[in-house]
Amino acid sequence: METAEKTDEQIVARAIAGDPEAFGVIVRRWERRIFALAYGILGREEDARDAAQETFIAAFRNLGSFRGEAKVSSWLHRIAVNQCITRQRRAKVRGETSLEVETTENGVQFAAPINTSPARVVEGRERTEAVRRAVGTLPPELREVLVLKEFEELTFQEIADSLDVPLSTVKSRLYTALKQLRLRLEKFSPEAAHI
Amino acid sequence: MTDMNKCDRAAEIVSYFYNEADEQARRSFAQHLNACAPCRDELAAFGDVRDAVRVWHTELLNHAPALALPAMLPEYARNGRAGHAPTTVVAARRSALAVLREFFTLTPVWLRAGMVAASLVVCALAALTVVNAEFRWDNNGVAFNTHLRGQVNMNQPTSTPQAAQVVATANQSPFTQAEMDKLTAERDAAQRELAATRTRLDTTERQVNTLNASLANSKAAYRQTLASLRLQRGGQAGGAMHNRRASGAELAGIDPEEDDLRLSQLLTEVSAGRNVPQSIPNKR
Repeated sequence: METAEKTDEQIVARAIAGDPEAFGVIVRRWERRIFALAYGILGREEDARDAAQETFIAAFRNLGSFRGEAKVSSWLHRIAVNQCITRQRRAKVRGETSLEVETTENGVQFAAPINTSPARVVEGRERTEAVRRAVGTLPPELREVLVLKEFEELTFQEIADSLDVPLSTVKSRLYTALKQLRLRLEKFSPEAAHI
Repeated sequence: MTDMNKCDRAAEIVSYFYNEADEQARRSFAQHLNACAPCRDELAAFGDVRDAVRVWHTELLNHAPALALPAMLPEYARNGRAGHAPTTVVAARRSALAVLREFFTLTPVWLRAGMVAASLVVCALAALTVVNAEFRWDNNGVAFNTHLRGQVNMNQPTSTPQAAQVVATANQSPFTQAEMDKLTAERDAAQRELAATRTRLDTTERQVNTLNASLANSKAAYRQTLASLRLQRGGQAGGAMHNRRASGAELAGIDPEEDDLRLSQLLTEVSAGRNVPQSIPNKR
């Protein structure tokens, strides 16, 4: 499809015009980032997959209301963050936890590059698992700001707008998240004790 | 490494770390870093944390699973409605019980109480429908018939002991409503007749009492008259006395001949100087 070279906005315009294949290009282009964002906030692969699907379904339903005032990527990420926050609030009401209850066995397994030595593969996997567990044990409100900052590279003000909290709250939460993550990485990852 | 930074500069260190501090704040915090080892250590530790998180993020991006959505979206677009294929993929993961539990968990307490009350009402109505219940409210009170045993249970709004007996009887007897109405009417008529009879009896009793009192007065007057005559009889003699006594005796129903005989004996005894009794013995 020749849409591969087109910008997101052009593809969305085609989708709005009635091209049923156009939105599929948007999904393929952004699904991994949206999934990663959802996984970072929610901490469960299953929840992240559902949230990502719901994000694109919501976007598809609301294509007609997309005015092009913001970038398509920003629009999608905003929808995804809202989906994740809604899911997180539901999970909080149900008393569920997230990353800390997903064991290594059923968590996302990361394949290492082919030319990597087995020892480095094991080391890298352990470190990734330590980070996943450390992030997972953060309180949801801290995890949100951390993921939005580190994954999405949003500014403090953009995070404040997304979460509808004051700017000072974003800064204090981010500081606390980094501080707690530092301590957790020391706890979960022996080789990271130098941190 | 433990958390030893006692500097209360969270906002400054985060702004500096993410390069979102303005130029003046950045210079100011850089000067502080030169003099504050804990802040320098913390800044370096935050850098390591960020590196670790970014490695994890890169791994996630490289190995995130592809969603099954693109193949479904054209069909979804043709159907033009939510809840088709893509939604099914999402919704199929949760059981109906889980959805119901979440709904009740997220529902406010007042709404939950209302739903419980409404459920109870619906269950009660369903039960009444099953037993073919019938309500009736008229002058005889509230009637409720379940048609289960073909009997009527009545509740009198102004219940008296008699009415309670009727209700009890109705609860125990297989009477129809028409029979109960007839019995109630007969009972009321009998009660009215009984009350009238009692009134007549009271009137008659009062009349009897009046007659008895009058009779007693007459008797008293007669005895008084008789006593007066007897007293006068002792102080008088002759035919006049006889005549008067005879007329008094006639009033008293006394035989004059017998009294004359007794009077003659009394006079004889007086003449003979014997004691005269204070009263005349009455042989009757």
